[in-house]
Amino acid sequence: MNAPSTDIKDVLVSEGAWVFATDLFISAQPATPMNSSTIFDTTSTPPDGTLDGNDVFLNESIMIWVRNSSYQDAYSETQSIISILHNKAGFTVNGTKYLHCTLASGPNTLTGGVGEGDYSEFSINFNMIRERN
Amino acid sequence: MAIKLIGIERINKALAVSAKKADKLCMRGMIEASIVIRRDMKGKVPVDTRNLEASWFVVTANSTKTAPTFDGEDAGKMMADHSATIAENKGKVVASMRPTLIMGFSANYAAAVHEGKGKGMKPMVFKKPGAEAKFFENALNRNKGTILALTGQELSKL
Repeated sequence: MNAPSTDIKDVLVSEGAWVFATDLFISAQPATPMNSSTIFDTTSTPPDGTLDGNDVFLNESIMIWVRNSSYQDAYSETQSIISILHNKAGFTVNGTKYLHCTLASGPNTLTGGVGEGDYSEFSINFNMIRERN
Repeated sequence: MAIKLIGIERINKALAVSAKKADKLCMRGMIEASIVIRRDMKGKVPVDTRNLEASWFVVTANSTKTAPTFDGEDAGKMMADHSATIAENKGKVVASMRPTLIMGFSANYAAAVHEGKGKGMKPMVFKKPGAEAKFFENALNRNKGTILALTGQELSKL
């Protein structure tokens, strides 16, 4: 079973215009390229079980940092990601069934102070429910 | 002139098998949808003793009774109400000709809190930040597409 960041990376690559390890990364944000997005696995709530105990549904969360030299381009990038992932339901990635993916918060501006570099950065957070396999 | 049709019985049998399988898949999709609905309500259900949240139930024809933990003086009555609610709804889903799932809250004050109306129909003020009236209805409305997608995805396995 993959980390959610790995699965969601594959969703974005297959449904969007991102290329993994070129402008889309997981777990660690590279110094370059400047214009890129990085997916991190983050904490969520405990799993839910079904009444018969046969299925366990994991509550997962990811955070995506979107960085760009242009504020507007960074914001537009967040909207592209949201349009693919928000309210996406009933999909299977790498053999794992995802019940639902929804925007939890964002876009949140991460930069903007003096001396923080000539770039803009946003974070967006998603909650997911997926079936343990 | 006579026409002889061969295989009608086999077709009927196959259709019956498919219908049964469709019912099971549809039920699975509905159970998945109920999990999404419950998750969506997290943080939005008004909390005092957490008894309202604990009274959540999902009933299908094959489900078993839940055993929530209630606190406070009326814990015993709430447990009795919970059991009665599940028994009543279990009867409904078993009697239904179609795959049926009933979910809700068994607390006898759930409807009043859900509508956010107190004595004299005055709006309730919820202590918990993020709690809202219509928490269940709003979750259903927010997830209409998800419910259809989940059941549809299961049925596509037919």
